[in-house]
Amino acid sequence: MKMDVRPPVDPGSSQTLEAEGLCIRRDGRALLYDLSLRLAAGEVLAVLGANGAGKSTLLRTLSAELSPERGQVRLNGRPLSAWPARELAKRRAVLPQHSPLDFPFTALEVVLMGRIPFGGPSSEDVHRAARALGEVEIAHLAERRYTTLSGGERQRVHLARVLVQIWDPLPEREPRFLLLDEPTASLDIAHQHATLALARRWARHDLGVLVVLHDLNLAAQYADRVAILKAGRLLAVGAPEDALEPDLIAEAFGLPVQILAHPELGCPLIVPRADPSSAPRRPVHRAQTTSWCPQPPHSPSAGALSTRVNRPRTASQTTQAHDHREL
Amino acid sequence: MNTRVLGLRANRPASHAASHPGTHPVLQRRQLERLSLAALLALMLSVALLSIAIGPVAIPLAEVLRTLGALAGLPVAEVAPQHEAVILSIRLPRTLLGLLVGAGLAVAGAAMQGLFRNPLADPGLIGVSAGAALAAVSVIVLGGQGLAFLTQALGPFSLPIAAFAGGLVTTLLVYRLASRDGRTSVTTLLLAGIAINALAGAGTGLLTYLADDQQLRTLTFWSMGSLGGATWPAVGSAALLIAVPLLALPLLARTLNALLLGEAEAGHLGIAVQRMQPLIVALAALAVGAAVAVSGIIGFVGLVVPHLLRLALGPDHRLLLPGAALLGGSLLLLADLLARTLVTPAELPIGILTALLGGPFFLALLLRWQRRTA
Amino acid sequence: MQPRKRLLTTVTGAAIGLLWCASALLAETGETSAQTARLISVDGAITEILYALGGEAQLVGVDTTSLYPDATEDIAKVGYKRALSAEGILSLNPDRLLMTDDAGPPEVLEQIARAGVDTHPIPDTPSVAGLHETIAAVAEVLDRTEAGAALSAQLDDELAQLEAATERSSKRPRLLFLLHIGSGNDMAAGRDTAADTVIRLAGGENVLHDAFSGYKPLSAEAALAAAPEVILVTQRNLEQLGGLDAVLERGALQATPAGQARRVLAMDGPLLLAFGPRLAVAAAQLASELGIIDEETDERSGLTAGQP
Repeated sequence: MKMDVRPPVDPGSSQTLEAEGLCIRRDGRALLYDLSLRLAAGEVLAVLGANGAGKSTLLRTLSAELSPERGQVRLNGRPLSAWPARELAKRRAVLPQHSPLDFPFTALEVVLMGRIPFGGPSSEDVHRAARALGEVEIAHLAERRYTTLSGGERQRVHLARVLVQIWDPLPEREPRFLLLDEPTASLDIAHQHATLALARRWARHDLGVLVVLHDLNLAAQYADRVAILKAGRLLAVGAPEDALEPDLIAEAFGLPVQILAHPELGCPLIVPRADPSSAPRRPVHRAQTTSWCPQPPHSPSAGALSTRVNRPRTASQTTQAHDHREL
Repeated sequence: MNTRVLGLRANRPASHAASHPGTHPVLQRRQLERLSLAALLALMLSVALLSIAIGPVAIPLAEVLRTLGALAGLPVAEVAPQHEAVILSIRLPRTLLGLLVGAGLAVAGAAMQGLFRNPLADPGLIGVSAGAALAAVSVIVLGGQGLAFLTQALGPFSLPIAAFAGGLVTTLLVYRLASRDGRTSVTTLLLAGIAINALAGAGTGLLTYLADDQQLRTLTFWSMGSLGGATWPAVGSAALLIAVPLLALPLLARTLNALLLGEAEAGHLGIAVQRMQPLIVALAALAVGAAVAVSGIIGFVGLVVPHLLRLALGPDHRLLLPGAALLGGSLLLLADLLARTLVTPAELPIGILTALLGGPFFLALLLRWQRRTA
Repeated sequence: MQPRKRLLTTVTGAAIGLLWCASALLAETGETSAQTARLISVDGAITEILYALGGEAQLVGVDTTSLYPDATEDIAKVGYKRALSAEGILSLNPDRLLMTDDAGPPEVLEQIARAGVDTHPIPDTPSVAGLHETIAAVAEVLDRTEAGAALSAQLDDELAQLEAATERSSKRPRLLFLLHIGSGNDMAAGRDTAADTVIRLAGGENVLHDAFSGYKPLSAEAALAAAPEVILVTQRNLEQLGGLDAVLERGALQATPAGQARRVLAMDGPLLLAFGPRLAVAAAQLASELGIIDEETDERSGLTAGQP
């Protein structure tokens, strides 16, 4: 198993979105098991895995939508639970897979909702939103009713919305994070590439992008690092050329593949083997449901943490300790 | 193009697409929106004046204006005392009550539609009004017996408070039934409404059976909805209770906008969804409960008004909620004006008029909805 | 953009239009006429008494339960007695609202009273003694106490004749009165109802007299247990339901003695239920239909003439 072969772009833990020892269970089944992952500012990290491997659960945990039974997610050094919701919203935006929105807002109005954490939309916000629509190449749809747009156009409107949410650099270049849940799902191939190229462009030194993907080749082409999940565990994480190995992919997806080199880009190109049925399969390793998460091998000292964020968080830590006892 | 980007793995600043210099259409539109609100306010004031000026008792406009002038402390000539009495003790409280009830129902409707992410959620259709009415009817019928402790403790507010509690419980029940994983099913919503309306109807029927003649009189008036009970104390209690949601819900407009994106997405935008949702439910139930307590069940205002406004001004709650208050008050006053002048000297139950207007409207909406989701 | 501009113009236009309509309407209307002793009756029995006492000239409004005599059709209708309109009533400029305890809503009565209209309720118990009280009260309002006393005396006289006639008969048929009000179970008359008194005065027996007071929905089994010999309905209900068979098909009525003998009697509803000066006439008509009194022998008493 390969772990983090490349050092993150910014090694300081106060500059990352970091998950440590995450465990989440539903109906006795482990959705995430002792999962640790670090998203650094400046990188594109692709999360890969078969259906039900825990990709969306991971994303929902990283975005504070779910709280882990054990383990912790820290954003810029501070636990998610210690961030006021609004401050968190200024630092990280989340693109959902689907949106239930069904009201006739104009596309621009939907994008403007990304400015909600910053108070009422100002005229500058309108210009930001218009530019964000340009970023996703649908500036001409600004005045169209959202309900009249196609699925792909709607998806891009929401992409513009999350961009506008973390549009401006924060004071002292504090890192911002963009979490994208299958952003290419309803897009044609050209727009899939355009979307990932955009993620690539935006992953600059104070902005990290985590993107859940199904297409291994898109990940190979655009990601700095890929994380491969299987049954709630991290199977491998590292640069695409290191992590995307035939054995690992076969184990994660149950599909024998061959890795070629991209003729132009040199990045890995993954192609399924001609006859999957004749290829040897690895036995599927299931997550244990009887044993539960181990205690984290090391936990940051409360004192060090509170000095760093300049605010004592003893209350929330007591709550967490209590949660642990409950399990 | 994409392949070229790939070569640039190093960080580089985002190249933003062409920005729009000058005044963006959105900003121009905002001015127009403000004007629309001013126009709606003008409409409401003219309808209110009409409602005070017109009625079965013929009073010249000059006398109406003089009476209002005297009320404002202006030195004006005397008005025939009977005319003054009609204006001050019948038309004025009735007009104010109509404005309050109409505004309350429309704002509650708009807020519930935002909460349920569904433009078909109307307090009447989904059973909130019926739940509020059942609680209020219980107080009327059982107030002297089983619930005597309640009526003694709450005094004149026992009816509106009971209606509020009934509305609150029903809203929570419908929400629990129709919402799953942050999404609302239209079918479940309307079916839950049917079931709750039937249940509340059965409860009301049972209480009608237990009621004595005196209480039956009050119940008849309730089931059809009327502003006929507009006395100053009724206006006072309604104003006190409806003012809270009327002022507070527009402040939550941005939260409601965010909720339209989905509960999780609203959370990602920094909205404290777990705290805000119950607050919105409580405020909407308060408006509906207080309205039902003073005027019985008046349907469709909460459905028609927000929908008309969405067609004209778009779904943004920052505009929708104040607009709904103004247009809701105006529409209900107009309906009441018709109710009390069409068959003079008798009067029609206002619920019949709003249903006559709202029923076909609702069917048309449903048809469009069906076509879109098909 | 376009729809917003359109809304703006529509709303402004509507506001101006409404104001114009208002001024036009108000210009047409003038002052109301001078004060006379103007009366509004919101009870069918009171209206009948008023006519019987010759006070109809003072009547400026009646409710929808005032159906007799036919002349009431030409008088302004102020709606159902339980859903009155304050301003509608005031617009008729009345001095007195003749009403019973069940008029409403209370807030409206309060407003009417505050505008200086006498709204003192007149008692109405569905008993003969109660009817005498009502007659006396209406006569006092009209300042025609002598006419009132005469009407009471005439009523007593007619009732005495009827009683004498019914006592000559040995028949005591058991009746069930059903009132069909829209959907659901029919309402059956218990004691303290107009129907109960009329049945008793006619020499019959209300099968539900001991069961309950007022009108209640009747279950099929309760109807069977009551074992009525005759089912009494109003003419209008009989037509609404579609004839005798349709009435018997409801509930378990077919299995009752009345159902097996197909004895369904239909009477003029307003006459049967009004409980006014025509009480003896109503009872006599019922008695005659039931065969308790013989039309020929009693004709000379004028009881079955159907006129007050």
